[in-house]
Amino acid sequence: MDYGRIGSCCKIAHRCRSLVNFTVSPRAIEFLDVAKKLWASWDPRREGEVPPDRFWDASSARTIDHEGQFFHVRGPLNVPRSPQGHPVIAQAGASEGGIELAARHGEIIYCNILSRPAGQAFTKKVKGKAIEVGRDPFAIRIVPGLVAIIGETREEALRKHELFSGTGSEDGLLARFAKENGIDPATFDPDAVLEAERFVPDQNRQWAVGMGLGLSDLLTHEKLTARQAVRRSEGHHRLVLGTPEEVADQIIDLWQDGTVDGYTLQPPRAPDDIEEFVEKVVPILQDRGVYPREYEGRTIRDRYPFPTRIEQDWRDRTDRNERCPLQGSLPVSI
Amino acid sequence: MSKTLHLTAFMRPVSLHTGAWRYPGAYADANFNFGHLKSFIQKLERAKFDAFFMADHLAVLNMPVEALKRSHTVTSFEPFTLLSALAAVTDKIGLAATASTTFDEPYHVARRFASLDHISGGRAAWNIVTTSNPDAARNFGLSEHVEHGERYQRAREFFDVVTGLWDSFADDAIIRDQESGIFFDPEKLHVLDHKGEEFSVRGPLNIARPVQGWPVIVQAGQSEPGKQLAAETAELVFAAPRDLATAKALYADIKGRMPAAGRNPAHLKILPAAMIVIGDSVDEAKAKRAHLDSLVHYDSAIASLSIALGHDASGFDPDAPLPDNIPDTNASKSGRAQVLRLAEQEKLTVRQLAQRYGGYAGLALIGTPKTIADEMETWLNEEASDGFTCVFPFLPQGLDDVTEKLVPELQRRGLFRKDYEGSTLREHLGLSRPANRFFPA
Ligand SMILES: Cc1cc2nc3c(=O)[nH]c(=O)nc-3n(C[C@H](O)[C@H](O)[C@H](O)COP(=O)(O)O)c2cc1C
Repeated sequence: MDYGRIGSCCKIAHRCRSLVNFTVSPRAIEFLDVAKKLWASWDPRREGEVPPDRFWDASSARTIDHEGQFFHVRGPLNVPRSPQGHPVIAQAGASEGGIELAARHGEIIYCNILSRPAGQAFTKKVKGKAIEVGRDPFAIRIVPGLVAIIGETREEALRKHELFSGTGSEDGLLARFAKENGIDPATFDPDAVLEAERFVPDQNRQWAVGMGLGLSDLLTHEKLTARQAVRRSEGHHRLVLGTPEEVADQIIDLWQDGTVDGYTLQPPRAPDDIEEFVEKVVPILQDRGVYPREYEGRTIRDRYPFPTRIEQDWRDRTDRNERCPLQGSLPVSI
Repeated sequence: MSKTLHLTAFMRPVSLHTGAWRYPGAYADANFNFGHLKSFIQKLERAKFDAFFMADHLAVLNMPVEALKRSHTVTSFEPFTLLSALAAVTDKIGLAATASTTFDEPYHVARRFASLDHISGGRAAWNIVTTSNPDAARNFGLSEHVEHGERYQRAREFFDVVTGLWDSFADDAIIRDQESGIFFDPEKLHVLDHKGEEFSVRGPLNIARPVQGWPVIVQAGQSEPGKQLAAETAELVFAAPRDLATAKALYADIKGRMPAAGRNPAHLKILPAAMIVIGDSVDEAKAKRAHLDSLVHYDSAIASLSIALGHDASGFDPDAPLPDNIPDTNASKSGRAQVLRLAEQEKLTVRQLAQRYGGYAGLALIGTPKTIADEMETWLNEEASDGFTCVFPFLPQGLDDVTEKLVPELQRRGLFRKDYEGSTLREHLGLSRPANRFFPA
């Protein structure tokens, strides 16, 4: 109906049950198996062969007769195949179960990546697992959250950060950091290098594991003090601060070597920050040839030119020229 | 003020007549073409219709595939996706959708209707169905359909949970005080904590109270428990009576049950579904209907007739009248009698009769704008209905005939509004806004 502009976001629900993430994952994986079978229960190749006194060719839809561990579904769907084949599958969640789901079914992966080494490690994990289960890793796009705070000068951007975060000052940011991470303010030294192990979240906790991983991953790969770390993320997502040029540089930085495939913009304040980003940063990205000036194609799938055949050798197409331009996903906040 | 009619449009499928998509000039893909649906709803809104109704089924329809393959009813949009899109291109017309109490969860249903009500500015209505199509069960992990009585028992509790969830927030709970930084007042949030036979739902809903308090409650059940559920809960009933006499009986039956349920019968509107075929003369309208019926393929038609008769009709001569002495079976006494009556009244051949049953066998108003307006006036005055759920014979022409010819005639007689007086569906239907059960005004 909306001609294929839809993306479907599958997150494992945070259930109030005594389930840990790795036991939820098989249900999510089977859920997607069933959804894909239903979306494929109509055969588009047979359309157009229907004689004039028939509305549809009955043999073009078939039951799926899924009998699985969690679901029993006969099908077919009573809605034919959509312009995109099936909606683009977006996935968020970086626990082990989440990565398994991303590898098996995800196409657009929301995540929090705060640095290059952390991003490369995450990408390798997801795409490696995808290869293991027989998927084309080129069919997976890593689009971490991104908070951009733009100023006339870097100083102005820093002050805006303090203002928008509600902490009011750098000291305020540091106090929040100590509180969020359970650090005793009496012994807290904002200029001491932080230890990564201190920030590893518990894999079995029921709340989103992936969010906490961003910081511990960052600290594993970079030696940072709290004063530096508070400027690297906001709301668990990568923070890029500065003038429009500086923000554009940082955006391109992690993209150009393939650490990330694009970003999910998380503007601190709507609509002002969306407008500011669109007016000041997007033109720079366009001038540098990394972001399209026009929508290419009608569907969201057209904008992420995913391979259509899994058998195709993905390695040939991962060279620079074949990579898709920077994708600006719709602003979402999680 | 004298009584006036309420009109809703039955739009999923856009026509219940299985031959509709083959009628000359019809949009064959109308069920599944957003552009067409958008133009239909905008025409209905210009004609001041009360509501646009999306029925729903959770499986492809359970007819034999030989019949199904010739049916445009096989595929339609999922109602919420469509109605959300249509809400954006309309301002006044109500948006009614079916949601199943057998295969859905109260929390999901409460959220979807609350959202649609907010998005549309108070135009949503929920048609409560228990889903009669047995094939739906097999899409939801069940090998057998849930038994009828149990479905209705579940439906009643489902209704209590959904309406309780809609009442989670008091109407004035969301204060958004930018000065103090308080967004809502927790004193005005109720946690439902429902624990019943069928459902355990904690709540609260994470959506502010709907614009209409509750979206309008619709029911279409025709059985005993169906009528009882309607009397206890519904504000709008989609009925399927055969004729004026059965409509009057049904009207009296449902409204008669309301006082015992502590309700005022004026707070429920009964709108029978009727296919409306308009011509410049009665004969021309009848000819259109006959042509429409003739587009129903004989194979699927004869199967439908056999079901209605309770006897295999495939051996009958298609171009002769119905043979005498068709054996009587216990299973279908009333169905058989109805077929015989229709064959006799309209002097139909086996083929014509079969095509009637394979096309659309329900109530039809066929004539000129004037004769149909006369009939509608009679139904209204004789307490057979409070209006109609219009089924279009083919589109766009059948719909245009209603909005451009019949509606002006009804307006001229003062039987139908010339303009909307309110902006919510409750206002169109003359229904009051329900009080919040946890936060009385
Ligand atoms: C106008 C009208 C609309 C209906 N819409 C639906 C619908 O959208 N989905 C559905 O499953 N049943 C629908 N029904 C069927 C009723 O909900 C009900 O199951 C049927 O009338 C049989 O009555 P009973 O359930 O009380 O036995 C509709 C019936 C009528 C008359």
